[in-house]
Amino acid sequence: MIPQLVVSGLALGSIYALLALSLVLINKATDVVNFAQGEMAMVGTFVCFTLLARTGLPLVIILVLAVPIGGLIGIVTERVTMRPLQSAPPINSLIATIGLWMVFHHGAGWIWGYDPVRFPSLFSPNPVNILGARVAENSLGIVGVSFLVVAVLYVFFEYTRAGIAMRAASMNRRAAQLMGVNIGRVSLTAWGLATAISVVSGLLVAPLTFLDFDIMFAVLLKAFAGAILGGFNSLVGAVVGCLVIGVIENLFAAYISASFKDTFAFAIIIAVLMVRPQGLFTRQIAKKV
Amino acid sequence: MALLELSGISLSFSGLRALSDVSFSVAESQIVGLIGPNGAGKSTLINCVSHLYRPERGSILFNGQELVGRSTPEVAAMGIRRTFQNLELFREVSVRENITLGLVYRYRAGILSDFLNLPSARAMRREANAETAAIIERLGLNDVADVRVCELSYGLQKSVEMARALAGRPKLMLLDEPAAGMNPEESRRVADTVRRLRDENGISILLVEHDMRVVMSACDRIVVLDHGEKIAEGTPAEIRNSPAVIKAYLGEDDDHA
Amino acid sequence: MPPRKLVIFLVVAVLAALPFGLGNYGYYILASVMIYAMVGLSLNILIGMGGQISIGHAGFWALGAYASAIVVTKAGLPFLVGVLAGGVVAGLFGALVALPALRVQGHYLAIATLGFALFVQQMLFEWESFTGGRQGLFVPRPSLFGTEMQSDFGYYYVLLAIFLLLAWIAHNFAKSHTGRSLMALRMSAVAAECCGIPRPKHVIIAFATSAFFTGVSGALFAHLLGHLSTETFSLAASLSFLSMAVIGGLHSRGGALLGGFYLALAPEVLREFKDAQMVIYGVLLILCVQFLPGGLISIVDVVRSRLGRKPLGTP
Repeated sequence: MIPQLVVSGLALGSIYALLALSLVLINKATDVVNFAQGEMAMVGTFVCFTLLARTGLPLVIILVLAVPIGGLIGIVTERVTMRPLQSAPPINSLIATIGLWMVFHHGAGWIWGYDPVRFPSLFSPNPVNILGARVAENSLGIVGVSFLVVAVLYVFFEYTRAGIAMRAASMNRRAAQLMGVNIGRVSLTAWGLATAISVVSGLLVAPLTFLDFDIMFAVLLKAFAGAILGGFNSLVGAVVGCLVIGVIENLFAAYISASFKDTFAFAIIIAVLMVRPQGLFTRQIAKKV
Repeated sequence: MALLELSGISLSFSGLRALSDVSFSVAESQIVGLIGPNGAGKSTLINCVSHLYRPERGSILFNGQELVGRSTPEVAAMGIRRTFQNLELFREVSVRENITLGLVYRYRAGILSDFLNLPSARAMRREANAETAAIIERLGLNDVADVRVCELSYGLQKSVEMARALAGRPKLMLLDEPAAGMNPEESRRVADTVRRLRDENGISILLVEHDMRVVMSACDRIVVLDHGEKIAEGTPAEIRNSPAVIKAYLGEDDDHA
Repeated sequence: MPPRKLVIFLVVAVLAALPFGLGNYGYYILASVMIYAMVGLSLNILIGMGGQISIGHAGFWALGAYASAIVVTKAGLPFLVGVLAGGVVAGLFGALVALPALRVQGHYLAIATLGFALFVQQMLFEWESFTGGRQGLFVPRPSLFGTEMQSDFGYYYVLLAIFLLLAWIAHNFAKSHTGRSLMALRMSAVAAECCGIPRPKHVIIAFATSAFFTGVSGALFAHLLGHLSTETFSLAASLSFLSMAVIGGLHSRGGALLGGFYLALAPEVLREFKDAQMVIYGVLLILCVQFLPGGLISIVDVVRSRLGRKPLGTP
């Protein structure tokens, strides 16, 4: 029983990890925590759903198209809402993302209705045998797709100009600006990239349950928990944190309480914030005065 | 007995030694200068004394009481006040409010009487306002008392920060580069002010400063830091002729020598 | 009469005259204005003065509502005792939530308060024996001096009086040494701490006070509604509170009042838009942050500064 729970936990965790990556990306590049990230992913997933229903394109193509769709949603959102707030106090940007949450959440309900719809899965739920443990095929598929996204992201940050500029901006915005990094473009790239990744997480989670306008909220909370566990400014930390959350969640639901399985994420959030606010994997750096 | 006694202060940031085993003391009514090349750990040391940083090892005795382990506000309330290299003012409010906030910790009515504006809360406000007014009068800030700090010139902002520190009736003041960004004439006035603080108020001073004229003319003793270590200590005359000091400064860049 | 006092007098006179000519539904809407405006005051203290964010105030609201309902129905205590109990229970939890706030700020705090509100909602839902769980809880009408108030007309004046009392307390707090120390910490925590002002104490005071106000509001709301269910205290409520406070204006008592009017009246005005309503709220919130960061009350300030007066928002 336990190996299956662990593997499906890792699958869940890698879905959370994709959303957490989006949150951390935007936070690192622009110092904004985007509370609407889950809702933007949900809207992107609905767009993919409509595309699938209208055009009948194969699901793999839709999964690939999710990236430009998400990117576009992110870019437009950044331009319209975040850009004008670039020089305002950070609390204003935070409040604006809460406005975005309302717009995307209820906008989806308004456009696509409030009833859940079935979203087909790329992978079958049939079990396969790995090292003696029977593991669902879609768990492996989810982990595989997430791994692919993380690999692409790694290449982007290590080998592309835009990626390196973003890393520089996240370390020291002021210095990066003086070195000729265009902060506006970094913010735009971060929002585009982050939303693209988050839509992939939406496409992975939708087949597990049903697709509706509420689907991403629980995912967002777990992603927060995982990202905080990982220190919130480390991409690797966020991924590891979310995998831990996914596994714990599955074990918690199976052995302790299913009805509190969403609540335990807050317990983790609060516990980490109280005991080790810098996260489990990063060291605290004293503030320069 | 020394007013402030540091012994064996060490602190490192992510593996980098910022201070190692620094010891010296400041006597009652003494002006001690803290100099050294950029990155020598001067500001870090000031931050340790005012407890924005907590040293990893060592002890800081103030009036015979251990400071390490106390909170920043506790240290402030014991009579240690400071100014900042890059100014830390309450920019959106008036000069008057800045100064009041510097002494408000001594005028506390209970929370309930604050909520209900009871006579005790009003009395506290009256007393704090009176003391603020006296400080404004004494430092000649009358003309700008009700101007918002962010609208003042850099020099005036520095005076406001000094006034706010004075409002805490400190026994020890930590001044972090009070003459930074000032012309020679203004620097001379800073040196005057520092001496007056001691002579008129009996305040001991730990002064971090790059401007050698200020340091040499104002200080009774000078401590020299380099790479987080104390390399020399003595009277201005001794320091001026110390080979170790000259080497440290020349080794870094010629401008400071 | 000094201009400031005159303005306050006129505002109170208008608020007192508002119910005349309205029907039961109008009384109910006005009562909600007062209840929301109290939450506005609480965010005025927490965000406006303290610079701490909360997107979980529905949690405190729920605690106040349920505490009062339980005190009145199960312990049989009078209505006003219930309201006070609601405030106290919420205030205690507020002090508790402040503990993570001592270590973290900004975004983290927002996430922690969000978690807190969802936790409260879930607890109330699961703890059936006490809260009625899914069925909810019936709450008696408010009663004063042994007589039950059947109409919201009378209740509105009770609410108005309590709002004025809380606004007076918030105003006292803003000019008190404790309140100004809190604002100093918001402006520069480093400078304030070096002035001998301890951050932990003030953050706890800000959270506890804010939660107390919200708890009182929740308790009064329970008695207005007559029936409690956990859905009332969802994330949507928390977000509405935050929007209302921002749109009204976070830095003054007048802003809190305008926020209360906004939150109570917007659904009436936007009724025709049905499903698109919430989208419009979101858009309004974003537009407000972009173009009117001081909230609706800052329009009043702009007009006043044209007339050469001191802005209302300053203490």
